[in-house]
Amino acid sequence: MSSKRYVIYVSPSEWGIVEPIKTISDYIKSSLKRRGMNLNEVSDHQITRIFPHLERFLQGHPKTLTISDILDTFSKQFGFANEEEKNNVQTAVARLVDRLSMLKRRDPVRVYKLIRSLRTLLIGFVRGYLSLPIQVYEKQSEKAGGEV
Amino acid sequence: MDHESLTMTITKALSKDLKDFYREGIEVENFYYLVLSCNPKFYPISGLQHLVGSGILALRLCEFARNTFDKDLSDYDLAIAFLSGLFHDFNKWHIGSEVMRSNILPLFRETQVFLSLEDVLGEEKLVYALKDAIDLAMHLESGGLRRGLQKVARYVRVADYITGGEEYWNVSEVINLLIKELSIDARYLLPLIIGRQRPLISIVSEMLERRLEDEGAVPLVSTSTGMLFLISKEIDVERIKREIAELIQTPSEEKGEKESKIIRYASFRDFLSGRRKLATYSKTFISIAGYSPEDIKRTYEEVKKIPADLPVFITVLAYIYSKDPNKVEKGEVRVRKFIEVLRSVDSSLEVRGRKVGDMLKELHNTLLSKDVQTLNALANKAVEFIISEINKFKGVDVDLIMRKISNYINIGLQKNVIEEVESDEYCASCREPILVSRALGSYLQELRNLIRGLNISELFHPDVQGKPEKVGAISDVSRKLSVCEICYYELIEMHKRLNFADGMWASVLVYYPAMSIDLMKIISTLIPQIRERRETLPVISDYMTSRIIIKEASGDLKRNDLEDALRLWYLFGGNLVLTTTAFGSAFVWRGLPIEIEVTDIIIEEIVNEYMHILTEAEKEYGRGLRRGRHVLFTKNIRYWLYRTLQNYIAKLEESRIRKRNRIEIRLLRSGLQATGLPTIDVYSFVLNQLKKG
Repeated sequence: MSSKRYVIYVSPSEWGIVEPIKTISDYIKSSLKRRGMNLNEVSDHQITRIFPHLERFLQGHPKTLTISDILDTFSKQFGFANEEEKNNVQTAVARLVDRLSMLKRRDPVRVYKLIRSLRTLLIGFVRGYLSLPIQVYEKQSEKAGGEV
Repeated sequence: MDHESLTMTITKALSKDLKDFYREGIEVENFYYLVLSCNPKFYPISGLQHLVGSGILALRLCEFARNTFDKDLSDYDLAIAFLSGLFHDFNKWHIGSEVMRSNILPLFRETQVFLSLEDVLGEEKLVYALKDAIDLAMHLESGGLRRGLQKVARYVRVADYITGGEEYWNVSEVINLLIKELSIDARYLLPLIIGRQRPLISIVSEMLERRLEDEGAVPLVSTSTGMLFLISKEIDVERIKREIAELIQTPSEEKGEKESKIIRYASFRDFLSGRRKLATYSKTFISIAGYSPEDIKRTYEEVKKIPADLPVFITVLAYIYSKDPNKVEKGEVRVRKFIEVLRSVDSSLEVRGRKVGDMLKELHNTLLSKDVQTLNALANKAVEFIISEINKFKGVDVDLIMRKISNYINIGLQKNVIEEVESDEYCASCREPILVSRALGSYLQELRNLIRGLNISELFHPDVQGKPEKVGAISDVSRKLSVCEICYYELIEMHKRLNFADGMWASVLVYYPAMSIDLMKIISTLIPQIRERRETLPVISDYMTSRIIIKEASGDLKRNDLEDALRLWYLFGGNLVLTTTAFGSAFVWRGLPIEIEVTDIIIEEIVNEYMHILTEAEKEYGRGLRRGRHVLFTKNIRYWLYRTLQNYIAKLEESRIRKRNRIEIRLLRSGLQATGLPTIDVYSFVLNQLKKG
């Protein structure tokens, strides 16, 4: 019954950012695998292609254009296996950009630092430095199962 | 009772369980993971303190009731009291009663606590007890309980309130509750309340608890303002107070922690023959405050082997005695006094000089003409006299201390609480009246022996702050100012006994609002056992303010110390404060789960996030969102904090630069981006460090 438990927990407020990054990293990993590329041959620059777009977004580039630019870059660099994957990535990018615009309103300086941290995090996820499952209590169900 | 009490059985089993949990690496998913990783209230509190604490408290109350006023309670009732205390908040794990029965109880069956209960009750009865306990837990607040359970429910409810209600940090509230809810007669209660907070209370509280328990009192609960015992017979409080006073009075010399030193008297010959001046010896030989009786005895043993050295030795003793540790009497007067004592052995001794130097030379010359037998007798007398003076200087009167102590600790609400001790002098350190005065100078001199590198001449005292023309180095005022016996005991004596004093790093586990004393006892005995890497680890359980003080490091705080402290916090609950002023008087409760005296932006952010989640959870709960995401996160929030901080600390680099005489965490945080989202900060930091390594 007993088992070792190593899970990275994130707080609910962070989950909005970590989840899209995780989705994007999964997508990049699977696309590289699909094309039979070795992770050692891929540069950090290649992995983090979305970040120039995100930085431009913080400098005032419109939100919708940023999302479409990022998806263009993805389809050029990594390609999409099917429509479902594309939709997933699109949703993730939109959520990330949404969250960033919110954080930008709250603290415009810190959000630049956040972008840099996220870049490191994405590289970590893709290269497998951080391979532990990530968990948060996100789903909100109205069922009063636990209440007595 | 002829057999061991149920509380003892359960606390033993619990202590074994916690040890196993630690041995298996803390992160094993078993019953204790559920208990330890949740934060069952909307302020920082651990499951161990609230859930296990209520269980033990309910059990203690029931057991006491059975022995005194409610003899109908059976072993079965007691077991239900413990179990329902343990499970009363199982909805905080966000599971229903069905999941509880099918998933959690099998986990509980693997624990030692379950097995030990099985030994007492038998398997069949225990299954019923568990069922009843869960029934009771579900209807604890709402009514509709079976009549058989109603009696026990009162005790469990009280235990739940005490360990969880925020107002019960105050021991008088606890007393009110016990009288109101359980109708316990006031004569069964023995509160110990803090009068004035000072380090002495922390130091003696462990001894107080032990003595009271030996007398037959039942330890119940420890709060930030004192502790509460249950008693069934009269207890002699005066005797216990006297014991504390005696503890303060007896110097710790017989323990022999400190190596005795030999006085190097031979160099004094240069002065006696006129080659050097007396002033050159002012630091070689200090006043009697700087020597222990052992030093004198050991030197005398050496001198006895060379009779020709006896005159120099006696002269040196006279010189040492001429320095008044309280800096009141003049040197000449004291030398005369010394010679007067020697004259009781040999009346022909006489000195005519007026200055200390002349007198010493004259004494030496006179001694040279004596035969060995007389010299031996004189040396014996001199040594005896000096030792008695040292003891007189270090000893304190017991009865006076007793009066003073009753201002600090009030046992059993005795009358004449604020009985001010009158004195002309006031302590330069704590501002209390002085019973036995010691000059600040000699006090600091002893302190210098304990704290390496303490430069006394650089210390300043607030009493000279207002006189800018005399910007006062402490050496200027140390003659006029004095220190009281309790300050002396707290810093000098306790340092010798505990090997710990303020100024060293300590991790303090603060239990707010109230904590079962039995549980604190388990924790303080477990800590030295699970930390094998240190031979001596002072753990002071301060029951009077519900906290446990653990010495971390005497110099800089290192990464290992931080990691250890964090592990203790996760395992044993409470709020962790890493501080160098653990005995400080303003130190009762801090409202954050983890606090470190040195600022670190990541740790601050992460603790902020913890508090933010609790606030949000409270709001969600208020809105009726009983399974809101913040509320649900509280189920594992302590584990989140522990794991994230542990990862962060593990990747910190230790600084190689060693700074002298400074207390700080020697860690480097290179390449850090603080974004206000703690987990992202931590893991991006960890990844950066990985790339560097």
